[in-house]
Amino acid sequence: MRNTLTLVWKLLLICLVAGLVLGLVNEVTKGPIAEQEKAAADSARAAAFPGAAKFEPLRHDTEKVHNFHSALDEKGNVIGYVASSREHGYGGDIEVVVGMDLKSKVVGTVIGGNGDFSETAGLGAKVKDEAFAKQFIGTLFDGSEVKYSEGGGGFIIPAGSILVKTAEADGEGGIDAISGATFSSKAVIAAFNNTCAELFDLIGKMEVKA
Amino acid sequence: MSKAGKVFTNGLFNENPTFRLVLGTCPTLAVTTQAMNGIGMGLAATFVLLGSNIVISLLRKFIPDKVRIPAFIVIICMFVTSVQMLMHAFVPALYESLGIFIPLIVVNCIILARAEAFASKNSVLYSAIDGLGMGIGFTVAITAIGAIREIVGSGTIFGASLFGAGFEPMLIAALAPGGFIVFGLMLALVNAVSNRDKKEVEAECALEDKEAA
Repeated sequence: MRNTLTLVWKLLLICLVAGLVLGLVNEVTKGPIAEQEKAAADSARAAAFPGAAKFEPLRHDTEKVHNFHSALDEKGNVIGYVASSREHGYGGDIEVVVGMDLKSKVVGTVIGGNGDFSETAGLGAKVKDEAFAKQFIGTLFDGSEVKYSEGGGGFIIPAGSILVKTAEADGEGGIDAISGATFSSKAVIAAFNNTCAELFDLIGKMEVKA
Repeated sequence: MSKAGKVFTNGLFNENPTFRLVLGTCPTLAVTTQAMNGIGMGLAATFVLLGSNIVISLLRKFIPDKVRIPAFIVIICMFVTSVQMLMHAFVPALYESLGIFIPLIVVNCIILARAEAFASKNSVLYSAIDGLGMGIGFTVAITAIGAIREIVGSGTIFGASLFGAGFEPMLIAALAPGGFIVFGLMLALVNAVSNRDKKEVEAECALEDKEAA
């Protein structure tokens, strides 16, 4: 009996000390980690909207697309919007940040995620390469007609614009998927389409208000 | 060779965790798609191995035999989680590249195996040296596998292109089946080399026996 009690209190003590140490480390690192994450999100936004001087968070959120920010120039005028969305790729979620100017033109994208990007190296991870990412830049949405995209799960995308899907599905134009990484490519396209649809929607609403 | 030297080289050759003990196979197969990943995973594991070996060796008289496994696991998890949080907070660049490997270390049985087989029975100094040797042996082994899979599977080494644009990489090497194939071939190679060494020693012994007779 005494032996069993010894086991119990010793194991309890080890767990207690481990818990205390973890609590302490968490207390010390909580602030810096939040700052790091904010800095990472800021730099992703800056890369998605080159030319913006600063970003302001918007009180706008949707089911799939989050982190809406307005992009401001030096004088504080709104020159566009940035938002991000996540879709499940092959290894995990892929985050896509999109910047769109007031003419509904995509000015930049950042593909990846904050430390949790886990697509296969050499295959799916190529979606982060510039060769793939730059295909999205310059996409224009003009809202004259309505069409449905294949990759994005049935959201509305204005046609007459470049309908963003894989080149294979389109035939003319479109995005060249990475060979051997269809899942990752499609996830990026879906997240991009979702984000663009919401940004387009937002820009329309803002124009009505103004 | 001194005992410290023997303990150190033990992890590199005789008891290389990947090729001789065949421990930590899961992270070995999962992350070795690129040589760089091997270095990242290896260094992170070395760091945790060093730390957990030291702490467990310090506590080896305190931890009762009957509950040693849960005690080891609590200590290792505490170490891994602290390392992850500290890295995330203070060395974000390193966290960016090693971050996804750190949680994998918790399930890396090399750490637990060394705690059980070595650190719980030896002094702090030797346990630290053992952790370092095992960690470096693990790093070298998985970097080698990663390099082979990267060269064959994507035609690059440490991200630098090797063969130019005309090269059609053998994609399977970068995928899971390729991991098993390369790992198996490496194991066969290491076994062949060590068997040959053993045979040579035996042959010499036999010769000496004959001469003596």
